[in-house]
Parts: sequence; structure tokens; C-alpha cells
Amino acid sequence: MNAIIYKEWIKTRRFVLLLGVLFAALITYIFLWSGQMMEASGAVIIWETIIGKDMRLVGYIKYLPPAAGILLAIVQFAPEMQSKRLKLTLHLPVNEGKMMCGMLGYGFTVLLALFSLSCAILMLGLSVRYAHEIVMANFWVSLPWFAGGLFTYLLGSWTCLEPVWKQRIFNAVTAACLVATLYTDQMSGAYATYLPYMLALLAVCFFFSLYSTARFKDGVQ
Amino acid sequence: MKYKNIIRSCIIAATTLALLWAIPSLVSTATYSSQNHPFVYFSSVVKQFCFRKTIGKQTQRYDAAGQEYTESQFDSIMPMMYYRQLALNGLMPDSINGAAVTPQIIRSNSFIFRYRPSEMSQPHIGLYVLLESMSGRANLQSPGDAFRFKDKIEFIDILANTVDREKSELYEKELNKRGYTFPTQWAFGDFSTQKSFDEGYFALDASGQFFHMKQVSGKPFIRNTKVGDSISIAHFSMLNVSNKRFYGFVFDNQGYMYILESPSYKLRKLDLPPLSLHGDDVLIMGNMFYWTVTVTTEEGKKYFALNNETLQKVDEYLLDNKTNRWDKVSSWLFPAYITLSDNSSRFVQPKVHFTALTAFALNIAIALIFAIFARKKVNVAFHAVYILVTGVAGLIAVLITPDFK
Repeated sequence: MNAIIYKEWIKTRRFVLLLGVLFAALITYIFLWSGQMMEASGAVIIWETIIGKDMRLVGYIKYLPPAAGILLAIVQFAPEMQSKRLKLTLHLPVNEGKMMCGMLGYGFTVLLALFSLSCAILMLGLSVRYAHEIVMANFWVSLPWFAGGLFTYLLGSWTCLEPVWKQRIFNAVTAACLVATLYTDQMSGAYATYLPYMLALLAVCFFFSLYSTARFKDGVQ
Repeated sequence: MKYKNIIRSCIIAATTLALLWAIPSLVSTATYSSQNHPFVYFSSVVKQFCFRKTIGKQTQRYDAAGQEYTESQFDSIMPMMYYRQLALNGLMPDSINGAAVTPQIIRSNSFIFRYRPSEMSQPHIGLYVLLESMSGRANLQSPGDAFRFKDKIEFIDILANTVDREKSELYEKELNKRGYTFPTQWAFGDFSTQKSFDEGYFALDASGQFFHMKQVSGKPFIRNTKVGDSISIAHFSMLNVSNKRFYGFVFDNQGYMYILESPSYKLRKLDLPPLSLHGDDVLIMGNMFYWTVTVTTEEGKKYFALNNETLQKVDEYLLDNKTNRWDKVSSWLFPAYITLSDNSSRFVQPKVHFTALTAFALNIAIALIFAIFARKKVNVAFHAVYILVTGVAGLIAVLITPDFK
């Protein structure tokens, strides 16, 4: 299993590094933008707009996690599907389910670590100039966006690993519907009540890729 | 693979759930049609409900008795609504119903209030801003601090992002002295600075007592309104009315509505039937003679005219909702569908809505067609039953999730 995870790391390390740089750049931009806003409008106006009008400080990060998720799925699994290289992996003397879970677990953990670190840096940075209630409001508003990144990774992997192109389109449509539930424009904190459903869906979606793998192994064309 | 069938079932279930939300959302947007109810206002001159309805370029103006009016006649019978137009045309009467009127008098006695059910169920950041109630300026000024008010009261200096101990202790001491019990259940206020005075906040404490808190000359002003002794308070909406007759509207748990009079904290009940606080919208357009109250329910709009002094009902009118395109389409397409948010709450939470049994006709038809034409005979019965229950969404989920041997 360690060898599989190492193989995944070798395959994706450059892209993971690129993601790290992109997140770092965007977080820096958010801090600079927030600081400039404070300078231009004054802290009192900004606080009052946040309290009264639900202004978001982390809005710029909205679409980066889902983009990161989908791109990691492509970087990790598209090469496997080219020339059907995945067949070699599936013929190794390891249970195919365990092996796929290991590969997915690697990508999921990498994204989870990246998102957690980004979220922690953002919240720590905001806590310097804002009360913890404002920090928490921004945490709650960004939570479905980060969860969206995990969803796009799992559902993107499911779509990439699917051997039939027509089916890939169907999978992508289903994935779009599921991810769209996290992007209905709502107040900060509105998704707190959706959290249990989100976690349950995330747990279920983790195993979708195994179905595509089974179809691939069975030689479905 | 061992759990292939279980995973396939999970994919079908997740796809069905997503489509039970996505397809009705798209169809609902595509079939949106307005109820096109007229604008309704109670006339203080003809003393009945008057209506203005626009269809295309044609605007009809009429009263409840069916009498039609021209635009200028309509202005004249609705001076509380069109006083600016009347003043502009030099047609403003000196008195109405024996009371002297000027545009200033009408303006200071008029208000518009709106209640939406989502007010009772929405996330709150947990921070508030307390303005100086009478700053002496035309517009109020921001205090430079915010406060948290859940388990204790704590003022935060915005520039330093630190707790202002002195101010916090001053307010905490005063709250304790007045018998306030933490934690606060909820607090409502309006910290907009575009007004000439501020009444601070009204808060329900842990023991169900209703407190008024504002800042007067830099000092805390805290009073127990004692309203909590007479009714079980569900909600309060503050309204800064120019004549300072009342602080806002109190709703009790039975759905009755009251005004909280200023400065006595006396409750005055509105002569309205109990509202569904989680479903009904309320719009009140008040003037010095009558209040026109519009209660929007799922069935239609109920209009009530209340006497401004007594708050007793003088007239009522009902306009039923017409069956709109979405109602017609959904009652044939979806016996049930899912929404993630609706008017009753601003939280995201999946809710299942049931429409009509007629939609099962479509479910039966597509389940039968599936049973007849399904290529693979394995699990056809199970899938047909699944489609019968879940309808179009289930059919699409089954069709796009491939089965294989």
C-alpha cells in the first residue's frame, strides 16, 4: 500500500506543489485586499458592513477548491486511463478495492490537508483584525466551498475512471448536480444545518470510483 | 468486486436525490408565473379597499364596490398614499376626516413594515452595534465598537480588536442590576445610522423576560419591559417610526401580533387572526387613519384594514391565489420533490414537498414502460418499483447508472 501511495505522490507532486503555490498566492491576495479595504474605508465601516450586510472576506476563494479537486482527479487518474495503464495496477497481487481506496485516500488526504491548512491560515490571519464571530462567519461561508473541492475530486475521479465516454458525460452531469447543492448563494452560516447531509454524501461518494474501476476491470467498452 | 451492487445502489440513490432537487428547480424557474395580484390600499376617503392593477400597458383603478377611477381621481381618494402628487398639483386637502393634514404630518405618521418568516430562522453573526440614541446630529454616528451578547455582554474596540473592559463592565453591572439573566435567547435592533434617533436593542433573556437596552448620553439605559409576564414572545421586529408611537412589533407563540408602545412598553394587540409565523409574510402600510395589513399565505392574500387609534379591524378582503403554471406542471410531473431552501428559513436544509397524487399517474406509466422495455430482465421488478416511487428522477438515475455482469 505504501508503494501505491508513493507512486501517487511521484505522479502528482508537481501538481500538488502548484496547488500549494496557488492557494498561498490567493490567501496573500485576500489578506492584501482586506488590508487595503480597511485602509480605504476604515475598520468601523468594514465591521459594520460585515455585521449588517453579511459581507464576506474570503469570497475570492470560492471556486479554487472545486477547481483544485477536479484537476487533481484528472492529474491522478487520466494517465491511468491512457493506454489502459490502470490494468497493470489492477493486476498487482493486492485487493483492487483496497488499492483504489488507497489511491483515492491519498488524493483525498492531500486535498483535505491543503484545504485545512489554507482555512487555518485564512482564519488565523483574519483573527488579527476581526472578532472571532466574524472569523467564524467566514469559516462557515467557506466550508461548503472547501467541501466542494473534496466532492469534485471524488466525483471527478469517478468520471475519469469510467471506461465509456458516454457514461463519463452522465457521471459528470450527476456530479455537477451534487456539487451545485453546495453553491446556492446563501448567508454565512446557512450551510451549518446541511453539514450532516454533506458529510453523509461525501462518505457515499468516496466509493463511486470503485464502481467505475470494476467496470474498467470487467472490460466494459 | 464484492460490493458492486451496493455501490451501484448508492450511486442511483445519490443521483435520484440530486435530480429530485435539480429537475424541479429548473422546471420551477422555467414555469414561473406571477400571481399578478393588484396593489391594495385602504382609502381614508371612501373608506374601502382600493385596487390598482396593471395588465400590459393598461392600468385599472377601482374600489371594492367596483367603482372605477381615473388616475387623478384615484390620487384624490388615496391622499395618504399620493400626498406628494396632490401637493404637486395643488390639490392637497387641508383636512381629512376632520383632522388637519399636511405632507409633513402625513409623512411623520406613516410607516411601512414588513415581516418575512425567514426572520425567525436565519443565521446570526453574534455581533451587534449600539448607537448613541440621541446624538444630536441629523444622522447617527457609528460608535467605533461592536458587542457580543450571548453568554455575557462584551464590547469590542473595532480599531484595536480588543475587549473594552470598562464599557463591558458598565453594561454588565447595569444588566445585572435590572435582573437580566444570561444567556440571551435573541436580540433585535436596527443599527442603521440613516435616522435621527436610535432605540437600541430589545432582547429576550434566558428567563423569557423582554429587555430594552440602549445608550443615552454614553450611559446604559436598560429596562425590563415586563412584556414577558403577559405573553410568550416568539419574535420582535423593530421599527423606527417617526412619531415614536411604538418601538416595533411583537409576535407571540400563538401567532398574534402586537405593537410595543413607546415609552410605556404597553402591548396593544392588532385585531388580526393568528398568523403562521413560519409561513406567512406580513406587510403593513400605516397612516394616521388606517393601517392596510397584507398577509400573504400559501392560499392567497388577505387584506385587513385596522383603525390607527384602536387597531381594531374595520374591513377585510381576500384574494385567492390562482393555480400557477408551476402548480399545474408539478402536480402532474412530481408527486414529491426536494428543496434546499424556502421562504420559511434562510438555513440550507433539504425539505421534501408533496404535490398531488395525480403525479403518480406519470410514475405508474414510466414504471410500466420501463418494465416492458427494459433490456435486462434482472432486477426489473425492483427498478420498476423504485421508478414508481421516485418518478422521473428515479427513471433517469436508473437509466444513466449502467448495470453490467
